[in-house]
Amino acid sequence: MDDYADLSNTELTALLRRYNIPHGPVVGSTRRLYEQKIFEYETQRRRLSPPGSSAASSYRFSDLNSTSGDSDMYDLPKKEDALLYQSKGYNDDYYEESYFTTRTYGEPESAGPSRGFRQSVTSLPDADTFHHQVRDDDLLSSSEEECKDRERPMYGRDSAYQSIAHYRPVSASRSSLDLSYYPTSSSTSSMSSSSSSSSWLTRRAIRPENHAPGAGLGQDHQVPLWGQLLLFLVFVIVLFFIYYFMQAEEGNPFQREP
Amino acid sequence: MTTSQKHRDFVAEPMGEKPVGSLAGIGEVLGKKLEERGFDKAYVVLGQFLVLKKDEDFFREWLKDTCGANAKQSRDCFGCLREWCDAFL
Repeated sequence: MDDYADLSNTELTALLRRYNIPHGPVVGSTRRLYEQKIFEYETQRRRLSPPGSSAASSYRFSDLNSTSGDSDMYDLPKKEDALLYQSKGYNDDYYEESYFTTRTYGEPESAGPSRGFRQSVTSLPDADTFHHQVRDDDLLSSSEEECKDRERPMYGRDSAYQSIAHYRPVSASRSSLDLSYYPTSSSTSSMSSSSSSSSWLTRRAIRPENHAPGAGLGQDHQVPLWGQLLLFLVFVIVLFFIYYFMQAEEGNPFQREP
Repeated sequence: MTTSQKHRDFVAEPMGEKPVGSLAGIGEVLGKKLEERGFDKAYVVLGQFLVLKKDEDFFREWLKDTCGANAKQSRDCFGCLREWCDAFL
């Protein structure tokens, strides 16, 4: 870091521009901050280039443990983070406060699909809203685009929600509910309810076998699937009763003809 | 995120010659340290905030190095200045 003290302000500015670090003018009060930023960037670059980014997690653990003397209190939580976000662990060497992150470099692409998967997992507990199935369809389609290897949990979840469509034809006269997203699924399900329910059951059996860590990760923080289905059923029944009583009010059976 | 009364008071009007202690997150201790470094008025800290191009990371790091502000204090100060700039700058 002392190397940068020899550079003039303009040279430092040129370095910042070359590294694409967003910066302001290099003046007396800001110089030290930018020197630190350049130092951190170059060290990170030096650390990333030898091992390669893909298999770097185990290497970086040993690297972090060997080089970080003062920030060992952050090693343990950061290890789990480094598994998921590969490029965030390198900050611990220089800054004890965890709030100072290099957001300027952006997230690595490997965290993108995992984040997308987590988004779709966290959307599951919203079983009580009208549009949760719509949102899930959007998330399912978007996450299918992102990560093709995750088709099976998406597929299983999609079929699990298709089974809810069983119950929709049972409760009649709910035109205001947005059934437009499930015309095909409800028709197919009404025609062959037993086969689809059995296929749903078989899919449900396959799912934990293939993606037990994924399901486990999902069920650590959210309501389980059967609970969500139960809540959704309750909500649907409540709505049915509301509409039923609304229709009765319109009719006003107590009105007598004069 | 709810703001403190100090934050709301600061953001409500142009800062003029207000002392640095009137910034949200800057109490007596931090205010004294900033004054020792020459940042005796709120507008001087505003100057530093603007020179850092309103970047949150840089400003909070600078505040921590200059007066020893912790994460909450620097976050409050940054939020206060950013809102003031949105309103008056």
